[in-house]
Amino acid sequence: MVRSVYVMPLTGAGVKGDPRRPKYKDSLFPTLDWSMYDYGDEPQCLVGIQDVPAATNTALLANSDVFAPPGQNLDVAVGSTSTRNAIRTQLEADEIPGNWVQNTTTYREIIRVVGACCQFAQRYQGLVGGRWFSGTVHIGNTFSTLNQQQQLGIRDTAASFGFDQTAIVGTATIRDVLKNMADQYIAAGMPLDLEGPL
Amino acid sequence: MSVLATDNFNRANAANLGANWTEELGGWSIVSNAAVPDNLGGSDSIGYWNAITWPNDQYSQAKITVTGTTGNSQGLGVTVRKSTSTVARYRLVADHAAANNMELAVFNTAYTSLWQRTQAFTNGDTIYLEAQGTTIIGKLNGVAVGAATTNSAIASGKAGIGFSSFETAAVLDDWEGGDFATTAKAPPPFRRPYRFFRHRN
Repeated sequence: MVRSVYVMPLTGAGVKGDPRRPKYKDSLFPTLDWSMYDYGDEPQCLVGIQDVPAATNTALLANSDVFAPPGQNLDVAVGSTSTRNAIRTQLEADEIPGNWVQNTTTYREIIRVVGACCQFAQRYQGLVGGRWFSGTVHIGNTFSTLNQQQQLGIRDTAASFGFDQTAIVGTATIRDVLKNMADQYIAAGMPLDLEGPL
Repeated sequence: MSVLATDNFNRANAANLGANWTEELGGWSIVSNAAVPDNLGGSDSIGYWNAITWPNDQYSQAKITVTGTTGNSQGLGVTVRKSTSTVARYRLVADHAAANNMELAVFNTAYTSLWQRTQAFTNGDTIYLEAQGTTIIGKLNGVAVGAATTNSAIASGKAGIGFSSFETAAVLDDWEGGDFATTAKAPPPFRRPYRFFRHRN
């Protein structure tokens, strides 16, 4: 079994007959074994798929809203500045912290941060629910632009994981807050299993 | 692992599972010494064992018989970390579809499919779901169905059973729920204390 990972949009109304699921599940991998980290209530997800046929991989990567490590090699560095910038742009367009990515960053580091952000967003969903990014609020905005319930919910989520909250201040960007939460999740050695360890 | 609750459903036919169970949505009945969803072909059914305080790390398993072949999100199975105030829970169900016949899902603010697998099973097999911390594992007859997955949405709740509707026949039996606490090491067998006898000269 060989696992491939992708960041892609999530589709579905979240009701019977139309569950929240990876956008291209029905059309491109309807019969393969797969697992998903949803990004809380945000419409993005991290997907692990087993034994992806080459044609399916090509079809997935043909979509501009799908991000995957080149050749599914997680342990290669990003490399060029143009690639780094493209990754930053794509992740940030998905409201996932991306501006931290450097030329020397490996794809595994990127995927693990995406996965950890998903875990944090899932816990937030379980405690509070609702989207962070809608209307005019984006990942580059300051934490103080979130409403009071959202701010408290993020603090409660951090507390539920036992995370240090000193990075959660009104003047920090939402990007930096989420990246800090993801870093703490990873540093604590919390699990990141998606069709195998990430 | 420790067994915390069991139910073989061996009792007279009834319109519910009894006082130890809380039923939601479609509900359940006792039919021929087994649990059967009330609304086959219609709405989902939830049942959770309410008679104990469940630890956060828990498992739930049962023998299932189901006839459907639709797959994706249809089938019969078990749940863990079911909320007592909302429908929040993790649910693992199976049917006889040729592909994607087992589904792990989380129900929270919405219904989110977490994984789907193709895993043939025989009616009467035991389906199993555990949640330990943020690690969620499904098994069939004691063998893991694919790799573990991580999900952080639900941290606590109660173990039980679940039905995903549109199956027209479904029977669940021999349910068991438990935790992962290690049982205390048994003390050594009782030994009579040595007696010291005074020798008489």
